[in-house]
Order: sequence, then structure tokens, then C-alpha cells
Amino acid sequence: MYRARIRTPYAGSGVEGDPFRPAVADAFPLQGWQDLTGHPAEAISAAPGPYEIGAILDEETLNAIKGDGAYELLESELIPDEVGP
Amino acid sequence: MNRLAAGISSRAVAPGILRASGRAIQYLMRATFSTSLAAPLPASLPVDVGGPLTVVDTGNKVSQSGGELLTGGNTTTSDPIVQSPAFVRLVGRAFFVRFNSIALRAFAGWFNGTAQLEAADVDTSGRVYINGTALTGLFTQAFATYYDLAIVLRTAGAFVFVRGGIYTTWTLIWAGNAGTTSPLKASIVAINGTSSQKWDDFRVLDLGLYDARFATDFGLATARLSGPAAGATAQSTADALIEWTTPTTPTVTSNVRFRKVDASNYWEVRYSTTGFALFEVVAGVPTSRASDATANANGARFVVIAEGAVIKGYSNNVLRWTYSSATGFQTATGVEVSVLAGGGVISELVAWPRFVTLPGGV
Repeated sequence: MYRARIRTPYAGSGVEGDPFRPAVADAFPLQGWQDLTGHPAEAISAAPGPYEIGAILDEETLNAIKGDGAYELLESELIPDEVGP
Repeated sequence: MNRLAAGISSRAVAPGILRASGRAIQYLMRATFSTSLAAPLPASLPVDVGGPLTVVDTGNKVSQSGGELLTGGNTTTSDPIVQSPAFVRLVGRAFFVRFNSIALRAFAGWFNGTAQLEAADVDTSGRVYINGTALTGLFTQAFATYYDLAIVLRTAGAFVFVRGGIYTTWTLIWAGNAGTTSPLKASIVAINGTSSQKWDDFRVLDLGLYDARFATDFGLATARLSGPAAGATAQSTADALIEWTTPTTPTVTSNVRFRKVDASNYWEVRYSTTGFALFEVVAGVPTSRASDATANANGARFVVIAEGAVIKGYSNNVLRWTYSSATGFQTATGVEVSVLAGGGVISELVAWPRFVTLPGGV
């Protein structure tokens, strides 16, 4: 799995059942993600511009996002195995 | 040297400290390492109260100097290791130790033999161990910094508290609820050849005798709901650990709200067999802040840790997400099981305070 930082537009209209969320998470199967920019909720409603998320995803998805002009892959790295014990 | 009791020499306070309440703290075991001793230390090391400590150190890497126990790397697995006598697991039985990690890793905590069961990683990894299972990302350590660690046993599992560095007061790092092994030994072990640590005031006491919150498994909780139905409410502290377990994890998203101000303003976790996500709802407008698609089987345990502007989510003891801009509703304390759908059942929801005042002198 990879860890990546991705710039994405918002999806959603900010109503129940259609929350503001990263459009890239609608378009691709991310294992997980978290909002890194943290725009205040009020600002998203007023002008939902692009923002950054940190995502966990597989290599195939990473390459697909790289090739999609709707999103910007800012950086990525292979997640190392956990060091024991 | 006991730096915890500021202004009081450790020799003056052992074996017990007379607290303001008048109840002297009686340690079951205490070592303050006041005498300078070159390696190798005696295999049976006399201590201030109780003991002795058992020292296994074939490479002569453990010494005492400057009022501290020094470990300078390991020779092999579990060598060197310094251990108390075995203690029966009792609710509130606590191992306290002060440490300063100069380089790389060591473990401190309650061990079964040489296995760290209820323990912490003395390193920058922020790991703790509950019943031997490592949990990551739980706290932030810096090298060359003094920390106080307390691991307080429960009937199953343990509380892990840390003070020092960025933690200006005792901070509940984790409330573990698995593992009943007994007896256990309070232990420290170096686990890397070039690790280097300082240790001080290694002690065991029954914390519940001096603070009634630790006399029972849930005495510290600010709320405990057994089998809550949708709509059940509770109060947490604003900075809190909130956990719930789902014997039947819902197949359809169910929701738990926290830091709730009112029906339109709150934080919410939405969880199911297929996900675990964080939402911020402001004036009724939902924004998804984090999400994880790991499957959650029946019996899943979900934990949210809210501290200041940082909210972390764990499912099944694994950190799934961290949202670091949670500036909204930071002082709100409402908790609500807002939706229970898809056949979901919560056996128990518990809120713990993130910050805790422990009795003086422990």
C-alpha cells in the first residue's frame, strides 16, 4: 500500500446524504483518507475550492490517479512494513 | 532520585509519602537507584522498598549513576532486562517509572516472563502494548526528555498514562480492555544494540487505595452506557477517549456523536461493517473529514480520541485516521448514540477523560 498526498476538488452539496467530501474518494477506491487542509466548514459552503487529503491506496489506484487530470498527486511513498517486535 | 516529589528528597519519602489527606502511600516496591554502581549490577538488586529487582545483563550494559538506572543497549533479546518480583493482577495495581530515552528503543511495563503485555515503547514510535498487541500512533515522545509512565492494571487490560514533554499533565493514552494474565512483573528491557535510556523511581503501588477512581474498572469513566439504544446520551470531558464495542456490527451506517453542542452542531463517527468515518456537522451542514474502508467484524471496538484540535480514530486497535484541524466545538461535551441501524448493537459505550490528576506523591 502507498501513502499519498492528493489535491482534489470537493464533491457534495453539504446536505445530509450528500456531505462535502473529496471528489477523488468518489472516483477511486481509497483504503482510507483524511482531510489535511482543514478548511473551516463555513468556508467550504461559501466557496468549496480544492484541498489536500492524505490517502492510503494501492499501487493501481495510485497510478490511475496520476493519470487523471482532475486530481493532483502531490507526493507518494510506499508504506514500510511495521518494525517489530 | 525521585524528581516527581519536587523539593522532597527521595530518601526522605521512602517508604511512604504522607499525603495531604493523611494517608501514607505504601509502595509494594520502589527503587530510586540512589547509589552509584558500575556494571555488572547484582543479579538480585536491593531496592528502597520491597523487591529485589532481578537483573539479567550478560553484556554489562546496566549501571546506576547520578541517581538513575542506565541501560546502554542490549546484548540479545531480553538481555538486559530488569524486573520486579511477580505481582498478582489487581484492579488499580500500578507500575510507575520515569524515563529518558537518549536513543532508540526500550520497553517498560507489565511483563509475563520476558513478553511485554501491558507496556509502552520508550522510543519516538508512540506505541503501547495491550495484552501484547502493539498499538501505534498513540503518543508523541521526544528523545532526551523526561517522561513519567504509569500503567494501571484493570481486570482485563490496563490504562496507560504519560506525563512529560508535550504532556503537561497526566494524560490517558489508552484504556486497554483485553488480557487477564496474572501474575505480572514490572519490567524494563532494552531492545536495540545501540539504545540508551535513563530510568528512575521504579515503583509499584495499589493506586485504588489512594484514588477511588482506580478501585474499580470503570471508576475513571465520565460516562458508561450499557446496551445503549439510539438516542441515548451521555457527557464526556471535552478532551476525551470515547469507546464503544459492537457485538453485532451494523451492516448499515450507524452514528455516534461527540463534542455535541446541539442537534445541528457536533462531530460524528459513522461506522459499519465496511467503514469508519469522521464527520463535522456545522449548522446542519455535514463535511466528511476522514474515512477508512477496513472491514469491521462483529465484536469490533471503536475508539475516538479527541484532544484539542486533533481527533484520532481507532478500530480494532489500529489507528485509521487523524484529523488535525478540529477547531470546532472543542469545549463541547455531549455524546449521543444518534443512529443504530443495520442490526447494529452496542454492548457498551464509555467516555474517559483525556487528562487526569493523580494523587500527589504516587
